[in-house]
Amino acid sequence: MADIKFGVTYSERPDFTDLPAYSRRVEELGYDSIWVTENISSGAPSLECFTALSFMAANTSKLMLGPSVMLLPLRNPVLVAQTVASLDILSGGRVVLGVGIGEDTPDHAVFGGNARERASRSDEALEVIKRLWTEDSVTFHGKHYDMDGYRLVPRPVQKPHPRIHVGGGAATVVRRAGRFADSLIPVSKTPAEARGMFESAEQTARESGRDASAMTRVMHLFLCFADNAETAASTASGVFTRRYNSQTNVPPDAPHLLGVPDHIRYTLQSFIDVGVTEFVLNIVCPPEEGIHQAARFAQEVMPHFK
Amino acid sequence: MKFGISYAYYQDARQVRESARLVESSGYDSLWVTENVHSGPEALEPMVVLSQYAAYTERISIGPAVVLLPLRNPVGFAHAVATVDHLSEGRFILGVGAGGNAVEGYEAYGVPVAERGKRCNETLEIMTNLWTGQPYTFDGQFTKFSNYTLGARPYQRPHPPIWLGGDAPPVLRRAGRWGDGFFPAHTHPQETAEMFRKIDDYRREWGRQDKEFTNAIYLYLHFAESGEKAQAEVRAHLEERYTYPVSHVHAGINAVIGTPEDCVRVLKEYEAIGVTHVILDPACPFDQLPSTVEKAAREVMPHFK
Repeated sequence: MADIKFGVTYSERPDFTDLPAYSRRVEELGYDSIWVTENISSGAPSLECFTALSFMAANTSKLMLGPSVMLLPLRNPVLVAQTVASLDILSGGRVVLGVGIGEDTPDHAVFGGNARERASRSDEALEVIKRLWTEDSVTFHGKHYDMDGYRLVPRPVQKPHPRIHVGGGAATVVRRAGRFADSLIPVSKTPAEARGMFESAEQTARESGRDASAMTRVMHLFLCFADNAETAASTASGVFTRRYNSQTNVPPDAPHLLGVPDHIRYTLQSFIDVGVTEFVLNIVCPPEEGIHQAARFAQEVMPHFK
Repeated sequence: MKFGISYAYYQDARQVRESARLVESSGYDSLWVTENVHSGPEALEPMVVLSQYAAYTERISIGPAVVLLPLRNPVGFAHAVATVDHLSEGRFILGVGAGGNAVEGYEAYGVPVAERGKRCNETLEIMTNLWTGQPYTFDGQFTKFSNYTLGARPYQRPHPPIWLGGDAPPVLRRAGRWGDGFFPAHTHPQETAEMFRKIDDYRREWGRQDKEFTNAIYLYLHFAESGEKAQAEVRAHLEERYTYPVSHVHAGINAVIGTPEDCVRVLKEYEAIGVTHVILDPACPFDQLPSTVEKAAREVMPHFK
């Protein structure tokens, strides 16, 4: 069996004092990656992703690290390119850049953006970032970003550049991933839906003259162990409601990892059957249980896929 | 008097770790990293470097010297500062600058150079309000939003100390209005004293004269057999660093360079005008860095402790 990769997220916390211990434990447990979620909803407890990831890099030696996902239209692409290059150097080439474009919320304005422009800003930003990482001098005149002969130094350690994950669910996300990304990460999709999205992204990649076979299929799934799927779904709903300040109901039969280990293994296999080789596990449980859920997954589920 | 070291070098992962530990174990009080958005010399993004300093040290203060504030989104940057303040358990000092002459990166960042002072002021106002943890509404020239609460409050309350770098008249006013400290770079003792006096006046105008305030200075550090030799070596090193000629470094006046005795003599002048924290930027070849940092700790620092 192919070696399936697993990563876990570090999300909301009452405080953030467990960050070093959490990241070291995730590495000990045999995970391949650790991810910081970015949540800009007003008042939701969160860390800024790049500084948190840099701290994690200092506390680990093997884990790949990245935001899952960071909201691209809210940041200047030159600063993103520079920050990720720095993080790649400081982590010894362990960074993955996971990006999303966010929802149509007023939060964009808080960060000086505009929700209506989030897709076109993201497309320009991805082009600028990739060019800054790979070209000696970048001249770019876009609708949102503009530069003449800008040279980014230092460049990332990974060549040609750190992998880019594009996450989300919309059709435009699939096209964006096909044009720019090394992986598409569908969110809240069934295996059949995910397969359609992967194939469509790979088709776009071919049409853009890229090597579609170099793209990997990554899936972002929510994880909550419980005695049954109903209890897990109800816990997950509570976490979402707190995390995003809005009432959310996760149905027990949602295509996520909810309930007992057997069921979780079955769901993972159904995604592996459509070509997924890497999973980002977003643990949805009360924060103090997070590391226990991660340990349980590593012990009871991961060995079946390694 | 407190002592800090500021690194303006490109360093890889191992060098960042070792040089951070060296500063702490040598007995310094603070560790700083510069920011550079010139598309010339290699420089790491300072906030992710500071996050690593937070991981590799336990006692000393850490901060950017300085971050180019006008290039940063106020909300995103307030969040990053709060994060590093948490990760360092309250050891962060926010050194800010408006960019001075280093304006080359502004176009790529989409910020008109002419707006940099106003953007600096707006960002300081937004950040200090967001750091209260209360929902905040702002309607300014560059940013407008309503009822936003930041996802992380700084570990220090109400927020990490804000130190203004630079020496132009608007910087002095900004230091009076927003600053908890001021650290000009390479200004001569007498002009520095004059700046401290002006800031005191501005602080009184804002009713902030009773708040704690740090008068600091940022100076180059380099040892050689004589001040003359040190000055020539430092200028040569800096021309390589900045890729333009450097003429403002004067042995015996505004640089901690020469013999240890020369260094002590210069620092005594700054101590006499009320400097309580000196930040030393080693302007020597990279391979001399550890010995320079250790020598200053051993042979200069004890004269001020």
